[in-house]
Order: sequence, then structure tokens, then C-alpha cells
Amino acid sequence: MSDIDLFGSVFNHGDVIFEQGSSGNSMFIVQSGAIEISCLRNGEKVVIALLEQGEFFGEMALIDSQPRSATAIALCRTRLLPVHRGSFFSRTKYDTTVILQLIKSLCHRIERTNELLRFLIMSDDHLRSTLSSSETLPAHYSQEPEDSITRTTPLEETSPPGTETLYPRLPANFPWDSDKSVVSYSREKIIFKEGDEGKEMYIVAKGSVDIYTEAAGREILLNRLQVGDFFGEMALVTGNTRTATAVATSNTQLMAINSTQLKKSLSANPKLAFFIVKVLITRLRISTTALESPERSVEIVRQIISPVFKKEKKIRIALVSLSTCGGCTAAMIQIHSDLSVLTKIADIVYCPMLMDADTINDVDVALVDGAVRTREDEQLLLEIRRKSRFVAAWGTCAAFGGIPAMANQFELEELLEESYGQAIDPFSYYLSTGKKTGNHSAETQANDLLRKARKLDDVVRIDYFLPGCPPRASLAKSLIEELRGDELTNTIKPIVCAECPRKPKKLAPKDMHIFPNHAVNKETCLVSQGILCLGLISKGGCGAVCLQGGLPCWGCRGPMQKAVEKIKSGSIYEDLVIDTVAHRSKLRVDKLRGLVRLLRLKGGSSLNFDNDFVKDTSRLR
Amino acid sequence: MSRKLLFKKATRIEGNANIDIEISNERIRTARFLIQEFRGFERFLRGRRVEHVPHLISRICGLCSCSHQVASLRAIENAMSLDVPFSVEYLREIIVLGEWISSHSLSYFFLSLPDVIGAAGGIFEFAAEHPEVSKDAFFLREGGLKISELLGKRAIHPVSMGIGHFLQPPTAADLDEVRSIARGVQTRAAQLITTVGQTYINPSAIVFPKDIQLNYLAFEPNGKTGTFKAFSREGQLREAFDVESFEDSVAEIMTEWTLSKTPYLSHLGFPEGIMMVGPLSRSFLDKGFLADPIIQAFPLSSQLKDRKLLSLESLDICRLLEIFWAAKRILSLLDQVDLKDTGVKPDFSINGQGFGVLEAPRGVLVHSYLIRKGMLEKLRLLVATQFNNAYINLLIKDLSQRYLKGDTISQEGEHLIGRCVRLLDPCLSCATH
Repeated sequence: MSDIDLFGSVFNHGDVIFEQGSSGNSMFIVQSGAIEISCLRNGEKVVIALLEQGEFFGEMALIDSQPRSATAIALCRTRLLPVHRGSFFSRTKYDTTVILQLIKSLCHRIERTNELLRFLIMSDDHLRSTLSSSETLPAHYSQEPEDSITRTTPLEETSPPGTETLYPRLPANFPWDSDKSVVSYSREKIIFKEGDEGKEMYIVAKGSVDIYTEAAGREILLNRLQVGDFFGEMALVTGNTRTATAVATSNTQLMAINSTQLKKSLSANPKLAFFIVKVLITRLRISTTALESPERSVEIVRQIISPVFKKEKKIRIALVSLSTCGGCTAAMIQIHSDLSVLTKIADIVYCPMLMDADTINDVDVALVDGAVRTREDEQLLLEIRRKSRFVAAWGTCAAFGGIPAMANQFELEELLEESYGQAIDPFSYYLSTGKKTGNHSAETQANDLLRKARKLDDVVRIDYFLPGCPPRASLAKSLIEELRGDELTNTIKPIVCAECPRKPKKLAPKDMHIFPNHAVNKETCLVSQGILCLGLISKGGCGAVCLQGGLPCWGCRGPMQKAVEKIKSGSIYEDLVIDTVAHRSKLRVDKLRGLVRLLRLKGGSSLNFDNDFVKDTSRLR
Repeated sequence: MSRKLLFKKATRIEGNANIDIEISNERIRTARFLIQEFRGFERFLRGRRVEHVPHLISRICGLCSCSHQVASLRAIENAMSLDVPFSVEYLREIIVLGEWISSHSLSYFFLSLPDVIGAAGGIFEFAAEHPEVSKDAFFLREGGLKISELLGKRAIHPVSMGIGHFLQPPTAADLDEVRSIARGVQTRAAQLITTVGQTYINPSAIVFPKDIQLNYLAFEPNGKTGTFKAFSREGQLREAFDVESFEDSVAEIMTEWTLSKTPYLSHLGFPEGIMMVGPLSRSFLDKGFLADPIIQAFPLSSQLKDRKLLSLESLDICRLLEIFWAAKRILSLLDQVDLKDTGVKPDFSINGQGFGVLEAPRGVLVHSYLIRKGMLEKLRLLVATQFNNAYINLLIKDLSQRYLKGDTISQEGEHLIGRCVRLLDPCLSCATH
């Protein structure tokens, strides 16, 4: 039963849905268009989030009855489906998945707001100098937890917080084993660090815990937790790494809860789930309040871009390269006519390869190619995310890790030894034996490199994925047309085969090979010719250009939509490839298994498509 | 004591690099060209199937992918002692020469020329203000790309080449189209050399340091093998060695602050053995572009003949002349191609060590492979920009010293440092791979 409508009403560009400080008892689901969520900081607008189709907002006021913490404005013609307090609560009584979803989305929002907060601190000279000159925490931050945290403990509605009474106050059906899941930490011990993988959340049973985050090279105290508080739930819910560091400030006992236990207890116990939602909302409010600095002297460096794509306005594009071969940028400037069509609707405002621009100004769309391999890559990508309305992963390395990720099966030291092991440094050359005495330089160099090459969405939120090696310039053009609301001039075929001029033969091949070691027949499908080709299962949009040169497809654009859905629901990419090729070639599955493995481990197709290879597949183009 | 750090992202170059200058007490403490890229090809390609290696290794560089692919194929074929028909080799050379044209036109028009005509916004800015120049730029770049594409079936990371043969050999119609494009490129390049070249190129303040001897290294092919030649500034042959003794003749030095190694001639030691590769070095070869009578007839080439007058700006002259020369060479190679000679099949049972060497647009490219049972067991790569790394650092150091003004570098100095990097046309993804 649900008394929610099918369609909401339409708001026009600039319409205010609600204002910061107003009261409200509804949340909204975006059915079409886009919403900007912003708050005021020293009289200047700070955009917290841009929400699109399928996302929701306004849930905070709905749940905790506080005034709205931000302003929501429609960016274009936007249809909003309202959900009123009554219908929301009656739904959650029997459907805990709604609350689980809410918890997940709140965690993402806290992450995003904290990230924004961190960057405001970094770009703020005054605050940064305060941070580096004084040993004590800035007043602004140390006050925050004291002033605005509403100290919440499990089931506070029924019993006041107390130290000894924690265990009894936990729901009876909470599936934890008091002996096994209690962990102890002595004073000053680190419980987890920012960037760690998070497999457990904790409830403070005894002692106290400080939560720190790192900004501008300093640790900043975010929160001080005491008995009955929980923490560490974000990484557990979102699957991302820890966003803060937790340190025990006295001898502390914690109850550890893993993901299975949490899911089980949340669905069994809506009250507990609701309690977590409330705490998360409080935390989100703390972060949002921190955005509106009480210090008048603090200026925001960032200028907010006009977030509306008007047709007559050109879209501002940045072309950014991380660790890459440069082919993705080269593909953009290959053909004059392509480029001039693109520059009719867009201005390329940042592209270090082609122009002198030291600083990146706010842009509408950033096309980022290459993987994140160096610390500089990481910094640049974070900066781009902050300054771009949309960030698109341009090319296979950016979208899936591509070539740089092939190195991930090795330790960094191994890679450096192979590449630099033979070279000597000037010190040994001039002042020592003139022979190699060790790999000192490689050790220092390792400081500039990350342990592993990462795809972009491992580091920041990515709005669109445009894989290809290299991607065709038309993919970028189509994305811009889509964002402008223009009619698309190109359509992407669902699979490579649909774009391939080769025709399959009825006669099945006798055997299958990993590579054509001869000139291939021009008209016939490569699989029919006995060559392992992934075009059958790979996403189109490349024009099947490799196939036209006789090279089999290795799936640089990733699996086709149907395969992606199967992978998301548990299928293994390799099995899907084997089944598809077996179906076309009529060869036995066991005959193909070794060959497909060889292609994936020792050959050209080394991309890993496990079930979270792209977090949001609707953003694949 | 005053201390100051100048840190600038190098722009209008291929890849990510920074120029880092530290000034302390009105003296240059350090001046460095920092290359911050690394992917680890030499490790992760070990153990991979050799047929796939040329297609993976071309991903070292999206701007000279054809050169990498051809060098890789040659190294594999050399290791397998595979006798590849000349027609296949000629077609590959045409693909690489197409890349010379596209790469040189990118470097000259898109990266270097904005310095001369004063367009910080690069090609996007001068396309509006100098439409005729940008038309030439795209004509030549598209021409070069199209030539590589007609034979390689894609210009960036070609797809039609296999070990010993073409997977999809070009047709007679493809060759005709290549011919007509090459003619067009040749004609347009000749016009540019006589008009634009004279207007825009002027020897500037970037002179070569006097204290360190410079070696110009180039590769002179001879059939399927060839000789490395190192020339002095005056054009005298200082050292010549064949492909097999390459690893004995060249050593590498590295520092902890950049990810690019620096090769030097081991007999001469460091720094006397540092080298420059690329178009200017190729001008010293007996059979190089400067030996061509038509090129010698261009007034512009007289600036190269007197070796004492060579400056860093000569690199741009070489690039323009090489665009012409590449088109001319393509036309002559086309006449020697026999399409019936489609190639040979590889024999994966043969193990061995092999070299693939060629002149890529930016200079000497060396792939050295050890192959066993159809797998790549070990590989060593030496790429053009790596050779030039020493020289880029040396010039940045000297320029920053010369243009030091109190505790900073003058604006002219900053401009010249940027210019110097661009003229050497480094490719950072290649340099570190």
C-alpha cells in the first residue's frame, strides 16, 4: 500500500522548492530535470549537490522536523514527486528497504559534504594558516562537536544515555556475540585510518573515541564519541574506504558489527534502522552547518558556476590527462571538421597539451583521460571534481583502469626495479664505485606514485563513463548534445557486432585461436573464422574499427548493457564471454575456457569487470 | 637568506611535466624538468602473448603509436629470425612516415607556433585569428593521419598489423589514395617551407651550452638492419655502432626527482656522452633529408648547412623539411610495394633475442625483446624523449641562470624555458612508459 502519486508537478528553471531555514514536512523525488541544493556561506552560495533523475532530497527535515538545512532550486524544467511525512512513515513500518536505501544515500551525502568542506578549508588561506600556526584546533572546529551534536544513544526515546546500561538497551534480537565481537583498544591506539577498507562498524561500549579527518596537511577533529555512540558505519554501507581516522582516547571497548550482522538487524528491526537514520541526519547537519562558517573573515575562493545549460550558451569543457598515452586527447583533435562542430557548441577552456592555462576555472564538463597512478594525478582529479559540474571518464584507462591497471598485479617495488634497476644515480656515478649499489632512487620515487593504478571512480564521483581505446570524438559530442538537451546526431549500437561489417557463416569453425596469424577473410565474422573475438558481448560505439583492420575485439568499451546487468546480479564476465562465443561458434564450452583465460591473463583483454566495475551503469555511454 | 621556489606546469607538450626552479640567495640552486608519469610497461608486459604485445605496447604513446607498434613487430620478428617480405616493411614504413607528418605538424603548428605568433590559447585561439595557418595545420595533420589510417586501419593505435604480415592488407585503391594524399602534403609543405617558414622561424636566444659536448644520435637503416651514428656539433662522426652492440654502447643514469632515466654513451661517460635525438640529429645522416637535392634547394635549409649557426630553433626548420621529405619518401616507397607479397606466418616455436629499431618522429626508438614459447619473457625500451631528457634539463638550468633577476626569473627567461621544452617536443608518456 502506498499513497504516493505516479507523477509529481513541474517546476521551471529558477523556481525555489524550499529555502534554507523554512519548515517542511515533505521530501521530493526528482522524476525529470535537475535540482541544485545549496546553502549560504558568508553570504555566498555554496552548491552542496546537484541532483538528477532518480535521486531524492528534503528527507532530513521530514524525519527530524528541523528547519530545512539548505535551499533547493530547479535548474531546468523539473518534475518533482513529493512524499509526505505520513506516507513515508507508514511505508517504513513494513518496508525496511526504504530505510536501508535512505541510510545508504545519507552516507553518500555526508561523504560528499565532508569532501566539499575539506576543500573549502584547503582553498582558504586564512583558515589554513590558522591550522598550520597553532597547535590547538581552530575554534571553529573544536566548538562544532560541543555545540551542535545532539548526543544520541540507542533508543534514547525510552531511556536516557548511561554508561553501564548500554547492553540492555540494544534491541534484543541484535545478532551479536558478546564474547567474540567486543574489541579493546588502549589509549591513543588507532582503530582505523582514513583510506582503510571498512569491514566493521563499532558501538562504543566503554571509553571514548575521537574522529579525525585530514585537511590541508593537518588532522582536524570532527567528532568526539562516547559510550553509546556508533561510528564506522559509512564505509560499511557505501563500500568505500574509511573517510576519517578513529583513535581511542582512553581505554576503550567497542562492539564490532560486520556488514551481514548489520543488514540482518536493520531489516529485522526498523526502530534501530530509524535510529541510525536520525544520527546520520544529525551528522549531515553538522557538516552542512560547518559549511556556513561563523567567521566573517573567511572568504571562499571558489566561484560558483552558473549551473544552467542554456542552448545559446556554449558549454565550457576541460580536457585533462592523468597517467595516459595521450591518445584520448589526440582523438579529440584528429579531424578539423569534427573539432569545429564540437567548438560550435562548446569552448575548450582547459587543455594543458594544447594551450597555456595554469589554473583550471570552473567548467561544465571535464573529460578526464588516463588512470590515477601518481599523487599528482590524484590531486588534479580532486581539483577537477571540485571545479566541474560534470566529470566524464574519457577512455578505457579512466573508466576501467585500462593499461595502467595491468600493473596492479605487481607490487610497486617490482615495477620500479624492472624499469630503473639497471640505471645508476649521479651519486654512485661520481662519488662511489661508479657501479650500482642499491635502488635508493626507486625508493624515493615510490613516494610520488600510488601503490596501485586506480580508475577514476575509485577516487571521486564520476558522472559519465565514455570508454574506448581511444574513444571516438563523436562520443564526446553526443554527451554534450545530451547535456544540452539537443537531438543526438549519433546513436550507439548496443554491441560491437551491430557495427561490424563482417557476416557470420553458418558453418562452424573447427577450432578457435587467440589471434589471427594470417591475413583474414575480409567479409566473414572472425569467430566464424575461428578467432576469439569479444565483439559479441562488448558495447558498441566504436564503429567496429578494429574488426575492419582484422584485429579481434578485446572489449575496450566494456560489456554490453545486458551483460552488465548479469554481472551486477552475480554472473562472472569470463563465463558470459565463454557462453556467448560458444553459442556463435558451436564449439564446446570446455574447449573455450582455457583460451578465454589466456586472453584475459596473458593477452590483450585484461580488463576486470567484477560486479562493481562501474558503480552506476546508467552513466555508461 | 632568501629562498624561492618557482613551479610551473609545462604546457603545450604531450603529457604531464613540471618545471621546478629553486632560487636561494639570488642563485639558482636547482632547475629541473620533472616528469611525473609511470606505468610500468617493462614489468607488466612480461609473460604476455607476443601477438598481443605490439597492440598493447603501442599504448605507451597515443601520438607515436605507429612507431611503437612497428618497432615492436620488428623486435619480435628479429627474435624469431622471421624473414619479412620487403613490401610488408615498406607499407609499415609508410605508416610510420604518415606519423612523422601528423606528429611534426602537431608539434610545429599546434604546440610551437603559438609561441611565435603569440597565442597562449593555442590552436583554438589562432584558428580564429589566423584561419589560413590553421587550415594548413589541419591539412597536414589530417593528411598524415589519413595515410597511417588507410594502411593501419586506424591512425591512433593501428589495428591491421600482425607478425610478419598484415591481418587486413591494403588494397590497390588504398595505395592510390595514399599516393594522392602524399602528393597534396608534399605540395603544401613545399609552399609552407618557402613562405610561412621564412616568416615565422627566427634563430633565437636559446644557444647550446659551450662547456658540454653534444652528441647527435640518429639511426641509419640499411636493409633490415642499420647503424647508430653519433655526430659532434660540427657534424663529425664520433661513434658508430650496430644494433646488436646497442646495450653495450649506451648506459643510463637516473635521479630520484624524476621518473625519466637519462641515457648516455658509455664510452664517453656522463655528461660528455649525453645525446640529442630527433629531426636535427637526422639532418646529419648521409642519407637523411638534408642530403636530398630538392630540400637542399630550399633557401630555408641553408640555415642548417652551416653547423655553427645551429640553434634550438633549427628543430622547427627540420620538422617542416621532414614533412616534405616524408611525403616524398612515401611516394617512392609506394612504387616499390607489391601487394601480392602479403607476408609470412610466424613460427612460435623459435625462441630468441631481438631488436626493433627505427626513427620515430621524435627520434631513435629501440625495443629489445627476449622471446620464449610465443611469450615475451623480457623487454627493454629506449624511447626518444628519454635521450633528450639530459638536454632539456641542461638547457633549463642554463636559461634560468642567464635570466635570473634578483630572486626570480625574468619574464623573457620564463618564456624561453617554455619555448625550449616545446622545441625539443618531449613526450612524457613515452619517456617513462
